[in-house]
Amino acid sequence: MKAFESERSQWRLKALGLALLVWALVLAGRLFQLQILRHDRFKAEVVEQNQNIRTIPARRGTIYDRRGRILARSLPVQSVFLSPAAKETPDVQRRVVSDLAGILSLSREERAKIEARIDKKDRFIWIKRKIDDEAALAVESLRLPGIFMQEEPRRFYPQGRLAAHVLGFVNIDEKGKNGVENVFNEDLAGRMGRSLILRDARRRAYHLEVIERAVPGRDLELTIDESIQYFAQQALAGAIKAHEASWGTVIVSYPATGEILALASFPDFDPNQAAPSPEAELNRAIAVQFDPGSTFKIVTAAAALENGAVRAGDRFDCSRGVVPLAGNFVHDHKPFGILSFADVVSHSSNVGMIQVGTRLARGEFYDAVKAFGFGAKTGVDLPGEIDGTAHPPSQWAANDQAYQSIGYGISVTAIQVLQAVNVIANDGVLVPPRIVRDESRPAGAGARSVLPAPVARQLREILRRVVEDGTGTSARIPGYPIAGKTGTTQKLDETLRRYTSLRHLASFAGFVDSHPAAFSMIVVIDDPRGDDQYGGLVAAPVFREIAQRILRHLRIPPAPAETPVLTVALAAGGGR
Amino acid sequence: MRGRLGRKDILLLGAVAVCAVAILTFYLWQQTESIRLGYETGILEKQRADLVEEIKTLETRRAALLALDRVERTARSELGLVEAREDQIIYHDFVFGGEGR
Repeated sequence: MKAFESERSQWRLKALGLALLVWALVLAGRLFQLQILRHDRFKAEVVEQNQNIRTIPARRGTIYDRRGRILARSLPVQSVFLSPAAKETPDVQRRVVSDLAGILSLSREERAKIEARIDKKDRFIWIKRKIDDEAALAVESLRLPGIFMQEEPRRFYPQGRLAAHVLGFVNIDEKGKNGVENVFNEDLAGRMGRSLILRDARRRAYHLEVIERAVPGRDLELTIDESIQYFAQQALAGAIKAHEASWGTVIVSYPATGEILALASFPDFDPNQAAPSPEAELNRAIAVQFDPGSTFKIVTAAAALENGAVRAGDRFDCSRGVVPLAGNFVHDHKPFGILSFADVVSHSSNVGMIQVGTRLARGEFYDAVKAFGFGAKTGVDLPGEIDGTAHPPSQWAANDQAYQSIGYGISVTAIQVLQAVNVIANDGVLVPPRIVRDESRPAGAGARSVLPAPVARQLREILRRVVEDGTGTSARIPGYPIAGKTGTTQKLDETLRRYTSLRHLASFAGFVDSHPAAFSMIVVIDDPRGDDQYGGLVAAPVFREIAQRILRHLRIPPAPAETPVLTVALAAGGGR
Repeated sequence: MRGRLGRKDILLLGAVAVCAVAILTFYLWQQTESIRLGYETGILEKQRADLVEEIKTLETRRAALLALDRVERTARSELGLVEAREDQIIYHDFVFGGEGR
């Protein structure tokens, strides 16, 4: 009996051992299958589940003014999207969108677009991109099914409308669409990077490895001075309103370096808002051409002096106050009598300046026009600059030189006129304008002499007389030497195809004539209404208003008043 | 003759075993520590990035608050300030054509 039980027990043990062996073999087989045969596949799956390759967005460069004040910067904000992760039905998705419509201020069109995409069963639908923090918090608190948020950069322009035409703006994908945002888009944008994130079973990141480092966009430093830009915009907007004008522009620069301190164009826009209208977006300082009128007499006078066609003492008969030109009559605003060359300029006599201009050979006149940079872009770092129009002498009609002498029949931009005025302020050296400070391009790069210095100095004296007792007295600032030239251009009546005396373009271009010139400025006001339509009455006061504020801002004191000097003999022991 | 482990051998084997356990323990500790530091670094990196962002946001908000039109509006309408007359301005320590930076 005992032997039987022992045998039975041994059989049981063997069976158990066999079962364990089979179990172990099955396990080993499964392990062999998982670890050896299908190792690569399962490893790939694990890696797939636990790691993310994420793109690292490159931060768009910040734009500063010349004093380091922020003009444009990108900051992270939230964007809301719908992704039916839990297979939400289209009805649920529509209800969710309806719940968000109020918080996100969705327009009817936006909702219709989203609902069309829901009907198409899209797996990823943007609801609203780049929302503000309050809206993001409100969306988050609703915990709506299928609604998620993603961080994206948004461009902020903390100064609002300030320098909008210089800065431009970006689209929803942060691509520069105008201004320096557009011209320097590649530099500002930088390059996106990639990173590897390893996560544990609870999706917590425990390892972050940068595969490709993001290259942040380059910061830009502009030549613009925030304060001067503000003065220019304020004064321009005020003048446009006061004169019910259609548009205007102001540019302020340092003549010696060509650096633009302010560039204002009106109408303007707020780059923080949606894309502006084409009318507001147009940068009229560089992209609108006009007949310059009398400001162009600076070029005629310079060419005449340089080529010896006139001398300072020459006199011109302007007593009739009118010149007949092939059936048309060019008038002065009043008969002046006999004027010296300097008086012709300072009183802006058309009759006198036509006599001056027509003393020049055609080639001499045209060479001067080209030397001053007309008919070609100045090359300022802004998009949309136009050439203007300066036809060669071969295309001129009989009286074109006479008309061009007084600034008609030639089209220029405001920045070209300022560049020409800067030649006079710089003793004959043309310095191309610039708006971005760039170490690779030192200030004054590309400068070239286009006028003998003595001629430029002679013209400076004459231009000071314009402000002291000529047509530009409204630009006078006591204690400061101002040189400049007024311009009043009759506008072309598109219907009649002729100039009309009812509508004008008023301008004033000048500079503070210190050594070196402290700054230069051009003011252009188009189509002012009311009694005052002359450059001297509309644009020159704007020049004065802005210049006064700039002089204070730059802490440039007035020259001491010239008072009689009293000499007093003091007795010994006189006090202090 | 059956070989018997001597006291010395037993001690040696014990030491090897202890060393192996110690090495394994150290390895496990080092792995755990490395992962813990990974978490910590991740958190700190995020905190740093968040703080950098916050600084930039604050700088931008400051720029918006100091926007010149806002300052002028406040100065004129709320504080009643007016433009100084030329004779009220005293220039000192000036730089001709001077500018910042």
